[in-house]
Amino acid sequence: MKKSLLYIAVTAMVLAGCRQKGDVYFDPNDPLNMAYTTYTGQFEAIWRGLNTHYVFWSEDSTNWDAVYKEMVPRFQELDTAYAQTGAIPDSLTFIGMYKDVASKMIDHHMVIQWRDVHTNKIYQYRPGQEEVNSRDYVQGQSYSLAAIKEAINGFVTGGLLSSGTWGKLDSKENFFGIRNVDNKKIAYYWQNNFYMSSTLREGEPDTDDELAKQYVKNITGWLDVCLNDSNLLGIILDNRCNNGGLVNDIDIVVGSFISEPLQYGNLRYKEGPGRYEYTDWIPAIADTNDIRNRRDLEEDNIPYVVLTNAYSISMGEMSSAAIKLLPTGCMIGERSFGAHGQLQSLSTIFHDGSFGDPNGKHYVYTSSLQLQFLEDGILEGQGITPDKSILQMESGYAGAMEKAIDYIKAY
Amino acid sequence: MNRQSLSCHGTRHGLIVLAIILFGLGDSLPALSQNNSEIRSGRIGIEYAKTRYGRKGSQYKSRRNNIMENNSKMGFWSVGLLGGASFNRQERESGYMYDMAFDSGWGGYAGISATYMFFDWLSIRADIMYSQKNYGMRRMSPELQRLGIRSFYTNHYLQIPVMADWTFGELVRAHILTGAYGGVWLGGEVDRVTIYNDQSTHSKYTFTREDNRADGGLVGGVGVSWDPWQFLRVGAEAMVFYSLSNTVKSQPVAYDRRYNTNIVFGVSVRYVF
Repeated sequence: MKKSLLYIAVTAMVLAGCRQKGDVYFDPNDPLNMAYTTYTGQFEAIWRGLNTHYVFWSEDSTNWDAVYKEMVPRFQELDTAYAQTGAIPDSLTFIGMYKDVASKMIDHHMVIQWRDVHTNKIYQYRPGQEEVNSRDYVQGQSYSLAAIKEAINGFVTGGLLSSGTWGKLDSKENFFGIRNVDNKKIAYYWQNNFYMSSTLREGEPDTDDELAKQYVKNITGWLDVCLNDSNLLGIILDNRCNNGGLVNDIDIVVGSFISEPLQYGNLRYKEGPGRYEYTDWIPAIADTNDIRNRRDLEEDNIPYVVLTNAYSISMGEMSSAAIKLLPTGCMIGERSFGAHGQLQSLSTIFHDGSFGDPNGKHYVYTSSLQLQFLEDGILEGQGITPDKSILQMESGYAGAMEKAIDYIKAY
Repeated sequence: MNRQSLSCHGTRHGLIVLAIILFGLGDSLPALSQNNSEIRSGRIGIEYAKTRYGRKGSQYKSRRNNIMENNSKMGFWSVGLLGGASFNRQERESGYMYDMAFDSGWGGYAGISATYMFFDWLSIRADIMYSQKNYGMRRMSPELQRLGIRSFYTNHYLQIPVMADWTFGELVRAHILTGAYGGVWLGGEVDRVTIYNDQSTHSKYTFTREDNRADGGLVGGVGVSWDPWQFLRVGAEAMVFYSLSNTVKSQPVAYDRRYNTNIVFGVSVRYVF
């Protein structure tokens, strides 16, 4: 019996050693993990970083392990070719390989940036932008800053707006316009980014640049008409070609027009290093706490229209979704970009978000949280569908504007 | 003596014997080591009890005979209930979040058990057990500790251990359990405090496509049992369920290891056929 016990004990000890060792987690921001010298090493660093930091694994259909299995031999081929002949992959091949890695990933904020490990040439791949450009209603349309600015100028010259002024502070541009309708006013506002809260906090810039001063005046002027003008007929917030910005601005463009905080969705982070380890859903709220001057649009029965197109991105979409929820709110235009996962620098708290070095060998710009809209759920990669669909390919930039004015007049 | 009074005396004497074994064994050890044949026949224990408890030794002898009768049986079954506390540790890594700590968690277990005795010293035992394999995650840095970020996972498992039960002793019998188990992860709950929710929330755990709900591994344990009546066996035991199956499905690279080691402490009551 002693022999039996000994045999069992030895067997148990051998089996007890059968727990596999883990190698899942490495710090994607550790310089040591960016010290690779091969194409394969670079791919592994990006793959492992996304393995932990990508926040949409619960929603994404990409088989990440299969991607690794398929792509490692291909990157090894590049390394072999370089070792044997000094061959450097051409742009098409290189970008094509990262397209095979990430083209199905739904994070529409994502930008994968890398440098050739031998030549230091920089490359970028944006899976979200590629998906949006492939949408049928986007084909042949221009969503550039120049295109929307030209269109807004056309609103004034064409009579859709009675007056308006441009502002520009650094790379931030805005336009505040008024449309007079039978002694009533429609307050129109466009901006290419959301930086209202920080701009208002900082106040008028100490500069001789009139455009910079006007930029601040446009924000305060639009808010003043919206909040205080007794002749206000309606509001138009034009989020077309808006690249996003500060999420706190939702308290201004929504919180200013409600009497109680509005929950427009829920958000969650990754609390653990595993692909599916998330925090609880946390309410995403347009708050009224810091907004002292408010006007309840429902009480005053004033319509609030938000315009969107395929290049309404991030806060350009989230603010639109919140306005859509308002009792007098209406979203007109195109289905938006589909980048709703906000970007916050919380990588010391959560296992998610951007990693790498923007000036180093690789950098991956990626969302740090999932946003789930109250009514429509998670729309990352899909975009928000407007209440009234007006496509630019059918009626240009003016089509949605005309529809908005008609809607307000008829409200 | 009616059955009721017998059982009452039996229980009392049983406790006395247990006390002897646990606390007074040191006195008898030299004697026990002197004569193995006397040990096997139980004479040493009887004489000790007689010396210590006077005339009650005769009643003790009667009870002991019942016990010895059970112990000398071969090829008999016993079935029963077991339950107690479980203590779980999940072996895993926090990655580069060096301030993330994983805590062991207490829970409970309960089950039914069947034993078949082949020999006086060897039985085979199989249980069907519900056990909790709980663990917690928290942050250690002062800032995050102040925010109170933490999670506690309560995990429900159904498992079937099959074990060899190596038995020693006579009146109070010692057991060494060795074997393997298979099981399934039934579900779970999470209690959390996250950065923006300062109140703890309770939610049902939602399985993901990477969760490995099949569980299996090694089991080992120790225990003691005692037969207050010929048909009843009570025991106390501790078992370790050492999982060899990761709670995350196998991955070709970036292996995410999460292994449970579940220790249960409890009591059992068995009917001896």
